[in-house]
Amino acid sequence: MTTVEEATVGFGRRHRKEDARFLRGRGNYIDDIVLPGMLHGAVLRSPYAHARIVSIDTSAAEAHPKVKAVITGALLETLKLAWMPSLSHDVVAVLATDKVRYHGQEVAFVVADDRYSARDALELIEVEYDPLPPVIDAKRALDPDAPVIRDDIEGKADNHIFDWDAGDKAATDAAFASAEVVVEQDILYPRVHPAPMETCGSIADMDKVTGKLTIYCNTQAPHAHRTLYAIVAGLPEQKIRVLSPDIGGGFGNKVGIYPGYVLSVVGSIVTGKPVKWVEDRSENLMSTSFARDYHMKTAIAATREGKILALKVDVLADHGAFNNTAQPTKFPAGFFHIFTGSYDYPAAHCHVTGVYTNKAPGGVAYACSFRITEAVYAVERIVDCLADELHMDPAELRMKNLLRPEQFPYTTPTGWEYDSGDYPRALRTAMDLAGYEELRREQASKRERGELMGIGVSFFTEGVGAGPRKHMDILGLGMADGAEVRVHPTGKAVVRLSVQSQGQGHETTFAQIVSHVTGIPSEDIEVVHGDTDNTPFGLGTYGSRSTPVSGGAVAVASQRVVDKAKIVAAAMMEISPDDLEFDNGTFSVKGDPGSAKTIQEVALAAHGALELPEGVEGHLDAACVYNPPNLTYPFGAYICVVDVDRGTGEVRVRRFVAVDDCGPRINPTIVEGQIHGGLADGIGMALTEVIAFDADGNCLGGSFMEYQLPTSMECPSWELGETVTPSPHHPIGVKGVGESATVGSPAAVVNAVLDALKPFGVRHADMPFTPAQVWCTMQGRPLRTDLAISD
Amino acid sequence: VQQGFLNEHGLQCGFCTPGVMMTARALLDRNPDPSPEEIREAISGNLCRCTGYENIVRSVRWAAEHPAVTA
Repeated sequence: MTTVEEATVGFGRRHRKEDARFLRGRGNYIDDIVLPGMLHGAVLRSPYAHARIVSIDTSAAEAHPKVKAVITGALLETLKLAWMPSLSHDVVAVLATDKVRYHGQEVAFVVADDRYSARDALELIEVEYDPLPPVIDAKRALDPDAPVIRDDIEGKADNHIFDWDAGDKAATDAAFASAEVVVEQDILYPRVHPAPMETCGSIADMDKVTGKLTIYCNTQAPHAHRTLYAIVAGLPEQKIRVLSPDIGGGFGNKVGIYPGYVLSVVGSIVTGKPVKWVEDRSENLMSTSFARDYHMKTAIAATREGKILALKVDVLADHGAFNNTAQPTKFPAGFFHIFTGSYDYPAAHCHVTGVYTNKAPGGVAYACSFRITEAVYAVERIVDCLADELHMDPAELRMKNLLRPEQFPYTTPTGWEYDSGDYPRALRTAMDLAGYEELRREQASKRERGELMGIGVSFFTEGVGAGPRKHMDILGLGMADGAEVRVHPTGKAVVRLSVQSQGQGHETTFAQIVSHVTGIPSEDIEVVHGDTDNTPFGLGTYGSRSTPVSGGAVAVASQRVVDKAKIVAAAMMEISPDDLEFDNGTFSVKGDPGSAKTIQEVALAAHGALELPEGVEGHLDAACVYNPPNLTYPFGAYICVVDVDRGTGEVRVRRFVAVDDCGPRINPTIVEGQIHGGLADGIGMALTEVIAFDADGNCLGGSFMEYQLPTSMECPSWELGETVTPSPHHPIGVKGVGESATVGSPAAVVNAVLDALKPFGVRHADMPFTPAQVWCTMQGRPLRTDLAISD
Repeated sequence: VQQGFLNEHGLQCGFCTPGVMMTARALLDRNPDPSPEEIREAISGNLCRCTGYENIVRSVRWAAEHPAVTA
């Protein structure tokens, strides 16, 4: 690990610009913001998973001396705000009116002078509920006698949301029918939660004189929020300003609009004062966007020699009480149909059925790249099951089937066009770093002694940078993002972004992109983001899209600045622009390096009295809206080594080797940090994290005592490697990396645990591999981890 | 400690960082030369969702190797 700053211009290791304030305790998170006269909101939540609301009595709460307003669903109905559109062509209750549909759902909102009074007053609200039987097990949601959760939808008589197919079913069935080997496995990717350290929150400030609504919110997508507020509340969009301050982690949790945000707006409109709402830990875990909850019936067909022929997956997708997954409109299962993975075979098919249950809504969150996490887990698990069936080494089986470099660009059986890759090289690199053969020898000798050691391999192909607007939109908003680059007279610059950092280091990375193209040192470049009044429109940061999409916009806008500067430089030097070359921030006459003009000198001239050529305006700036021609496809090979305690069932991750290829690395230090965090996510999901429910629908993951994040003790010292395959269609070749490790790592850990447990004759069990699950798996009776219900 | 976190990229979103740095300072005050394992033990009560802890360990090691001039 180098700690030296390599360069001030362009790509390379640089200290992060944003660290100066974070290291001094000067970060400015949502709860740090205090406005004059600000009031505080608190949400009353449902203690039931499914119940009819008989009555709500708010009189005692309203009588509390510090309470300024109590808002119920009935009041919102008069404003036509009781329901808001979801991100997936459904509606979401802002406050429950008819009935509550999950444990923790919003029922009432209290605005008071301070947070404590608001919380106290919640206790004074009397709600009479008439409990209904809940639908907790997704597998029972479509039973004929299942209670209907969404009776608010006219004519709705079941809990079915959608059916969706991808791939060629006939060809896949034919391949399975004639295959020598078929392996089937039910694979659950349980419900998990992004659980950022900072919970969600907002401050709404309605200025009744100007009619301007200012919303401070730790959102990953400030522009999308502004447009949605305009649609939801009927407010004119130019009168809404969304400010996104420093965000304490997002991971997909802070994409959507939560009822609490809307309630802070209503609270401000009602009271005429700014209203802050910040949820607590339990509220975050119980009610905001969860992730996964995919029951995947997976099957693979192959020859006896281990050549994969076809793959099929039948998914039961638990979307909770409202269909509010955040994903492009045309893809109700996100990008799950990338499930064919990194291998070369002709036939694949998936079918996805979405159902309502009495659980919190969400589904696409936690660094999942629009469900590629689930897809990679399914294929990487079933490939290991196939290896077990064939008695083949799982790395050897993968190597035999990986796409070859000469096959790129490669169109998958479900229609994705992978842009570039050298997969076998990545896997070989990981195996060399890990000392794979030596590890297998060690494992063999340990097994003879009865010790449990496992080696898990996974290979992933990600698809990030959504996306081409022709195919991808969210609620009709195309997924292209804008950027503006302006060089000031003194040669310093500002770049304005639509995307929003939650810790990824945008202020550093995007300055480096401008620097790379223009030659202006990155410390001279200010990055502006998180303010819809001062940045161009775009859909925000999720799905690892910031660098692939906005990075493209910034690179193109920066190049336009250079092109313009070249004309100005030519005018300064009284020669043709064609005779100039540009390198590292300096224009010089071809063959005469002594004749140089720096971009800083050109910037001053562009703002000065210089006579500019016909058609060239003064100043030095440019903008770009980048509409990606395709997704980018980062990939990687991961190897995990675990030791399992035979007596306690405890899993210890001894080593984790990760070889990532995300194209050229703008700031390798930041890229490595992103990978580290994602690997920790993988350990969390594989070993400890799960949002489970009891038979009454009570959420069993509502605190960090139950929802256990990995600590420094569970994480090993990560061993990273890299290969570099640029994207051929991206302006600077970069592919994005934010979610790669979260997508790729869970399968490696689970494959390692199940490899360790092979002596017990178990091929598959579901995560998380808590000591209890490991113990039950050793007894040949793995648990169903998503429910605390005996079948 | 702050310089260590800057040099070794021991933070991302920054939300957990003040608490982690205070824990690190307390550790270094009682053990000026902790091993990576001792650092992991010391910070095991601090949750971080961004860094995967590795660079935090390196940051604290950096601080141990570069003691402040004035104590």
